[in-house]
Amino acid sequence: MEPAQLSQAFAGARAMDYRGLSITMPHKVAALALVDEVDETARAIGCINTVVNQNGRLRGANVDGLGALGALRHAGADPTGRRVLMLGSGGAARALAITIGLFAKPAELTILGAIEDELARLARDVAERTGCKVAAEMLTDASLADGLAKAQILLHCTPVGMKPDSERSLVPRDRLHSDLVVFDAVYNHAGLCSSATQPQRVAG
Amino acid sequence: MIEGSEMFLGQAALQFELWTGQGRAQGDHALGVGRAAMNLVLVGYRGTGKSVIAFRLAGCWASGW
Repeated sequence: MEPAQLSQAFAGARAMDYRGLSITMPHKVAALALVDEVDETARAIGCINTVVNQNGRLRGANVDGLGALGALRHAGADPTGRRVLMLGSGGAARALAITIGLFAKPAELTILGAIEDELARLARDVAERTGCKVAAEMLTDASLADGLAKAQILLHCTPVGMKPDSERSLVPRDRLHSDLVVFDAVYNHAGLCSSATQPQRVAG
Repeated sequence: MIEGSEMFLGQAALQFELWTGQGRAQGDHALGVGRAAMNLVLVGYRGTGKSVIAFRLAGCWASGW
């Protein structure tokens, strides 16, 4: 569907009384303006991925970050009170950073990114909207090595490793350590998976 | 190592809860839309994970979560 057709799609969903919609890129931001209500998490993130039709009123939500947070908790890696290193500052990073800032506040969240203005905006928004302690740096070999050495949880949220480059990884195998839990937003990412095959748990 | 498919599964489960009212609602997503049986359709391009999620969901439902 083309972006210009989005409002028609929403009108159709209202007319046919759809129970809900799942919104994917590139429509997540524009969809925010087409619902009647937006929940707190989605408003802080700045986009929606879920619409619920409640008696004709469309309510927007964003469960991108909550899905990731649930996976972390299920694996015994709740970010609350931990030192968390995030790679990336795009949409996936934004959803996860805002969500853990709201619901699982880390002791420190360090974000490494390659797009300077996007990185600065994300760090500012997470700090202002969640009260989370955030540091942001440009992604370099030095900042990655330093961040990995301190981190208890690594959140990989860049597109590196997506098909067809699934063997690529930003994280050299020798930089991983036994106290590090690795979360990779890219699924079927052979490169990062092969670097961290053993499930690890945060101690303490 | 926690893979991205775990995140997608978690998102799908939360969306299912929001649309059906079945399962655990979390945080400010407890919208309470009532209970109703419905079909679930996964739509996406090739290689985007439909089969992975479908198999995982089928496994969850078969085991009662």
